[in-house]
Amino acid sequence: MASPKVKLQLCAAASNPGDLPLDAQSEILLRLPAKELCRLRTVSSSWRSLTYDPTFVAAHRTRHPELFLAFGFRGESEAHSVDIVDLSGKLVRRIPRGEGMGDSLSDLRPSLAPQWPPPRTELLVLRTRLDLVCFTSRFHPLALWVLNPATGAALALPKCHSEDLETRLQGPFYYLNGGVDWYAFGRVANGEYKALRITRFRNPCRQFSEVITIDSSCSNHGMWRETQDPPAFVSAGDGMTMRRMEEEMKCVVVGGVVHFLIDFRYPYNNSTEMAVEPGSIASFNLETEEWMAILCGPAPVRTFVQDNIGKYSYVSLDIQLLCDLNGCLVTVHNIHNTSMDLWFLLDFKKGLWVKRYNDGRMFFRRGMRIIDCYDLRTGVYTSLLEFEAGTHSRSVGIYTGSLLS
Amino acid sequence: MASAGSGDEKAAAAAMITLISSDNEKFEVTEATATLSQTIRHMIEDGCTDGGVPLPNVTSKILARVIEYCKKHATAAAGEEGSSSSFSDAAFLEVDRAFLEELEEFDDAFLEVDRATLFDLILAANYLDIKGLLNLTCQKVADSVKGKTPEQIREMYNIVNDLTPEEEAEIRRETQWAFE
Repeated sequence: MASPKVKLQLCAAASNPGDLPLDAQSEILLRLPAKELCRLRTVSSSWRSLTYDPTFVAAHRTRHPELFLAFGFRGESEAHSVDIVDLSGKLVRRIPRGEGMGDSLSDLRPSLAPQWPPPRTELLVLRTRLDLVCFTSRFHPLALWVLNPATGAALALPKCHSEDLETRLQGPFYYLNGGVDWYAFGRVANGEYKALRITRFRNPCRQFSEVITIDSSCSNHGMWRETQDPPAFVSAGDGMTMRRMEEEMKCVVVGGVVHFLIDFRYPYNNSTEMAVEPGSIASFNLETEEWMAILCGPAPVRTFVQDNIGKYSYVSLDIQLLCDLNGCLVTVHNIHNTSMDLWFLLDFKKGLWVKRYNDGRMFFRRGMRIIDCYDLRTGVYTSLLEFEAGTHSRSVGIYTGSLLS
Repeated sequence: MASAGSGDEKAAAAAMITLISSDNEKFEVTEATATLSQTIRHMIEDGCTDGGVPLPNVTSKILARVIEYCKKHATAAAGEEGSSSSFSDAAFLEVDRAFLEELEEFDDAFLEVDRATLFDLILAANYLDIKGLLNLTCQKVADSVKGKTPEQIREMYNIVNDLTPEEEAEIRRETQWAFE
C-alpha cells in the first residue's frame, strides 16, 4: 500500500516542470515514448539524471510494454546491422555491425576471441522473444553475440566449443564433417540467460548440445559446456547458414525451455529403437540443462498423413512450425493452400494440445524481402516490412525490452 | 467516535470530512469524495481527521478544483461498483457508456486551465495522491512536449539549460539514433 507522502516543502505556485517535485516530473516523463525521452535528455541535467535512473527505466518499460521486431539487415554495399522496428514497421534503432563491441575474452585466449563479423558476412538474429537480442554470423557459425539494443552494447561469446567437444571434433576436420545446426537463447528463473548450441557431426551421425551462461546484466559469460545429446535428431535443414523461413521456425524458446520439432523423416531417427511420430518435439530445459521426455504432437498432426492417404504425403508436414503465443507453445499445422491449425500446449506432462484461435500476432519472414504479420484475432495478414532492392534480411526475432538505456 | 443520535445520523455525520486550505478556507466533502485521495484515506484510517484536515500546500482556488474533480469521479466510481454487482444487460452498458463519455468531456473541460494552474493541480494531485487526477494532468503536460525540440521545451517552460556543451554532446553521442 502507498505510504503517506513526505510533506512538500514547496508551497509557492509552480510555473515550470523544474518546480515540480521529482516524482511528479517523473510521472510526466514516464508518459513519453523512449525515442522522445532520449532526445529530451538534453533539456536539463535533472531530466538527464531522471531518465538514466534504473528505477525510472524499469517503470517506463512496465508502462510501455510494446514489442519490437529485431532482424539482421543487409543494406546496400554490404552494410550489415541489427535493426529494431516497431510494429508499424518504422525503424526505431539501427545498430551497425561493429558498434559497441564487448569482448571480455580477448585478454585470456586471444586466438579464441571472436571479432565482430568481418565484412561480407551477414548477421543472423535468433528467434527469441526477450529483452536482449542474440545473433550469429552467417559464415562464422561458431561466433555468437548477445546485444542490448538499448545501449547498443554487444557481448561476444567464446568462439569455440566446450573443451571436451573440441578435443573430440579436432579442428578443420570438423568443418568438413559437420556444422552448427541450431542456436537458441532464453532466460532462466534467476534472471540469467543461457544459450544452447546444437552441433552436428556427420559420420558417425550425431548431434551434440552445449550450453553457456550469460549473467543477468549481460556483461559476463561462462564457457561453453557440453550436456546430454538430444534425444532424437532435431530438424536442421542445411544448418544455420542457408536456412529457409520454415526451417528456422522449427525451434522456439518458451519460458526457459527450448523446443525443437524432431525431424521424423530423418533416417537416423527411424533407426533408433524409438519410432518418432510426426509432430514430436524434443525439449531442452535451460534451467536444469537437461533434455525432457519427448513430447508427442497433437493427435490430428500425428495421424494427418494416414488420415489423408493419396491426398498428402509426409513431405506436406515439412511446413509445420513452432511458435510462442502469449507464453504458450503452439504447433502451427500448415496445410498447404488450405488452412492453418494452431495447437496450444496446455499441459506438457500430459501432452495436452488444444486447437484455438487466440489473440496474438505471428511474424513470418517471406523469402528475404518481406516480413509479414498475421493477426490471429482479425485473421488478417499484413506486410510489415518490404526491403528495398539490394537489401534483405534472413532472420527475425522479437525484442521486448525498452530502448531507454 | 460520534456521540449521540440515531444510526442514520451517525453514518451521515461520519461520512463528511472537512478539508482546510492553506488560506484557511473550509470545504465540507463526503468521505467517498475525500478518499479518492490516498493521503486523506490513510488519515481517515488512522482516525486523525477530527477537526478537519489541514492542507497547507493547497490553496483554496486549487482545492476547489480538486474537489470538483473528486466529486465527479467519486460518482463515477460508485456507478462502476453498482453496475458490476448488478445484472449487466445492454441497457446498463448503454448507461455506462454514456456516463464514461460524459466523464471524458468533463476531464477535457477540466484541463482548460492556464499553465500555472495545471502545475498547481499536479502538485496537489501528487501531494494528495489522487491517481486519476495525477494521470490526467501529467498526460496533458506530456502531450504538450511531444514532438518539440529541447530548445522549444526550455522556452515553453522556462527551464534553464544547466548542461555543458560537452555533456550535451555526450548525450547525443550515446543516443544518436534518437536524434535521427
